[in-house]
Amino acid sequence: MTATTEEGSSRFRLAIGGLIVLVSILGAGVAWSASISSTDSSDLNQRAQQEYLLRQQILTSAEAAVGEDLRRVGAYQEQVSAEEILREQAERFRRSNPDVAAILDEQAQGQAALRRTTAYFFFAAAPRVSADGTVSYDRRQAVDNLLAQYVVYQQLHPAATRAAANDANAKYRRTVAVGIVFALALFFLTLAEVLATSRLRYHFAAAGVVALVAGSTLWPLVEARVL
Amino acid sequence: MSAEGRASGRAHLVVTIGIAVTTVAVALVGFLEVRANSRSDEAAQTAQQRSVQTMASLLKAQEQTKVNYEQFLRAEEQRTQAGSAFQESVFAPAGEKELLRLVQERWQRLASKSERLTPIGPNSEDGPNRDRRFPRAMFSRASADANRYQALQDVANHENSAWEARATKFTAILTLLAVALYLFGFALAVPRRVLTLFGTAGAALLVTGIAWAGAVAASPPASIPDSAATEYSQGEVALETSTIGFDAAGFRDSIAHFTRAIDEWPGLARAYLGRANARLSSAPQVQASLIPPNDLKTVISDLDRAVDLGLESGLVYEQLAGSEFSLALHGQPDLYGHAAAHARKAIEIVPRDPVARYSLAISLLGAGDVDGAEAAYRDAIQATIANGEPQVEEQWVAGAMSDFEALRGARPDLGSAIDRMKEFVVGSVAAGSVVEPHGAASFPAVQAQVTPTSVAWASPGETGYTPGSDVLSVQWYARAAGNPWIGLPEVSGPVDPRAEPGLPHYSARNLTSSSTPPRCLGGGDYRVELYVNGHLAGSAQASVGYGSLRASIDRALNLEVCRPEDWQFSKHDLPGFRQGFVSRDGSRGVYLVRYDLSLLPARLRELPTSQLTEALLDSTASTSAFLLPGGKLTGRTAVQHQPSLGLPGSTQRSYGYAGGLAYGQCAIDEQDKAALVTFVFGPQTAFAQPGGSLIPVVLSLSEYRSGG
Repeated sequence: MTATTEEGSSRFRLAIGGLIVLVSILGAGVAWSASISSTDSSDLNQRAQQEYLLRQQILTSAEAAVGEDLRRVGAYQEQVSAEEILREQAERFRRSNPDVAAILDEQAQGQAALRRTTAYFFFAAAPRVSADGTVSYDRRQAVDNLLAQYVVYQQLHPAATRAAANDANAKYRRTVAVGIVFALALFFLTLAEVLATSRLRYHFAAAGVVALVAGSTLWPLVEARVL
Repeated sequence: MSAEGRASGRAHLVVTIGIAVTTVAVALVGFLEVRANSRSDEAAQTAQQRSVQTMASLLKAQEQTKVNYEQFLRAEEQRTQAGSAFQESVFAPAGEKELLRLVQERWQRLASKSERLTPIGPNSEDGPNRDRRFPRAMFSRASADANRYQALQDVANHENSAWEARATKFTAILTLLAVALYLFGFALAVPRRVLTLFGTAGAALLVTGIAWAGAVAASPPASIPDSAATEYSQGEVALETSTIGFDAAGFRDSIAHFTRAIDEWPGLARAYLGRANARLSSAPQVQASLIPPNDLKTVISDLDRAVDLGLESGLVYEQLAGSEFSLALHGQPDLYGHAAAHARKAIEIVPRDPVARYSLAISLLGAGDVDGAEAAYRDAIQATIANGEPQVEEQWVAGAMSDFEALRGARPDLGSAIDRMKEFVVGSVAAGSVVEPHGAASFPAVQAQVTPTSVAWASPGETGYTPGSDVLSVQWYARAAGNPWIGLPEVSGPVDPRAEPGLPHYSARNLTSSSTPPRCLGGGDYRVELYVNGHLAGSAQASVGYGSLRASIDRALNLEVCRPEDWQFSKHDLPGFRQGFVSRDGSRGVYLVRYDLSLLPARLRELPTSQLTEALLDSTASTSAFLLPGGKLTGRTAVQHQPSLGLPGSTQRSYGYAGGLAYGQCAIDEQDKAALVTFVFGPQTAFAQPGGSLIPVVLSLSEYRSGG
């Protein structure tokens, strides 16, 4: 081997050594970035879970409250119908037996008073009375009305938080994948470094540089969430 | 460079390449571990969410069902008010009658409005006519979503475990690779021979790690379809809404859903347990001895699988022991040993439960170990006496009697040992302590009588029995064609001579009043055995052919009846006053009516019982003719006065209408201050002896007495 060749080989190995140091530093940076993404993902997941639990708690509480309203529907129906029937019966007796009609009127008044009191205590939604005197109650509307009053409930978006957590998790996985690319670069550069006399070292060096460039390009893209 | 130097250089080269390869492998396995951990965390969170959804869904559904049930009760109360007003109006003066009719009309209209607020009605899908254990079915159906979420939680937990196991494997592989890296690194700083050793070991670890990682990565956990959870949930609902011993179709449906759930996900442990329960529940009183051998094999296999998948419990082992014993009866004597082993496992888990101890005893007896069986029965009796209320004790004793009779069929050679053990068990439990049978009492000519609602035995004379000092225990059995005798716990047990003045000549017990859900005695053979101080003193057998009847108890009227399955609640029901069941075409039926004696006018109340019952029967017939086909009476027979509905001073009379006959009965219950009136109506031929289809309905009518 000539002195020039030896000098060239020495420069080549020095350059490869420099690249190995660079790849190692970049690899450490990728590992740091991956750990940050992992922490973000974990925090967001936990927050999503807490939001979900709180949301379910509020929803269950609202459902229970509506259940109380639903229980009053039966009593309300009875009072509405009783008033209507008593008035109808009073009309039937108005001419033939005014005394009975008066008693029935009084009873109808009593039922009307009860009906008004019961109606006053519906707190989630007001019941509706159709033309034939049938009472209906919109359970879904009642739950929505109650939930609308919970400011906290409006601010809870577990699905969005979960999506953000999934994003952070995806970034974490991609960053680790970039780390694999740098590891490959390290692998090829190591081969280039140790195969001091083989012509193959140039091919390995080229592969290592390509992997280094690929990793260096992908990392910012992952960080910027383009990928 | 020397040859040794070149060789050393090559070795260094190889080790350096090994380090590089290991580094890449570490990065790749690390990536796979991260992915597995992510999936595991995701599944764990999903499982937690499913758990919350299970509870939330259950609460919501139960709340809604409770509201529906309360509305149904409100409608029933309103109809009761209508019935009460009607009853008052029947004997009220003209002016008052008109007002009472207004009240009745008002309550009836209110009831029909209230009924619209709830999906539950007397004849609705989960209403009292369809559900023998009303309101259980509707609450069970309401928990369908919760069951589904629970199964989905199982799915998520399973996925979590699978991914977690995978992540753990990757961690182990990373450790291998770290050790390989250490060896490669160290190899570069040591003499050549040590280098070769370290390098070889490092390479071996590297190859192992890469191969293992490849194998793990190539077999990801299988994904489980959500439909498995849906099928499981439907199976549970079908299981819960079917009644043991009655709804074979419901249990078949349940089995089909569980099977589909298992096909979708063979790891769904609950589905195996559910399928085994559905098969066992299809037999009357969960008697495994009545289940076909092939079904028993499936039950055993399902229970074994449930245990393998982690659902181990005392109950599962008890079921395994019972099923294996029953299968052993079908020419597989090896299974007696398996049954005994599983019974012992159950005893370890639930030492106070007598069922496992009885299972052990009968399995040992089946295997021919009579001494071992006797010792096990001694333990079982002690557990029975220590744990049980008298009614519960009899459940265990009747279960033991059923097992004895099933074993007798398979092992006739054990007949005398079985007889001795039966006496030992019955006598000891009746006495409240472990005692050997003794005495020589005899009831030589016992006769058994069976109506659709009750069983009775009569004996013209006996010897050696002293009420008060001797303990008499009665054991009743039923047998359908070709099946073994099955104990009837509700009507069996010790007899108290202070409560039954007819002793020692007569004793009757009402099965319908004492069973839950209430049931009637259908066609088949019946046997009674009388044990005095444990000694078998007499027995008798009877056969009846009543067909399948449905028990109905109206606790508001205090009456019970057994009627054909397809009859429905009458639209003319007024709860608390009148209840009816009629066939779909309205040509046959039964009406039960109750009058409060305090509401009757004084002129009626002062009449002697037989005249009062006659007056009430005629009056009810004339005012209730609209309930009969045609709505008009055409004549009546002469009056009779025989005890009926279990009450003295009763009146019976038949009333004719176009195309049929209404057989009426009226009786007074002084204690309950009530007059009870019943009518069974239908074509005249249906009352003809023998075999008239309405005769069992007439025979079954009885006053309801809680506990029989």
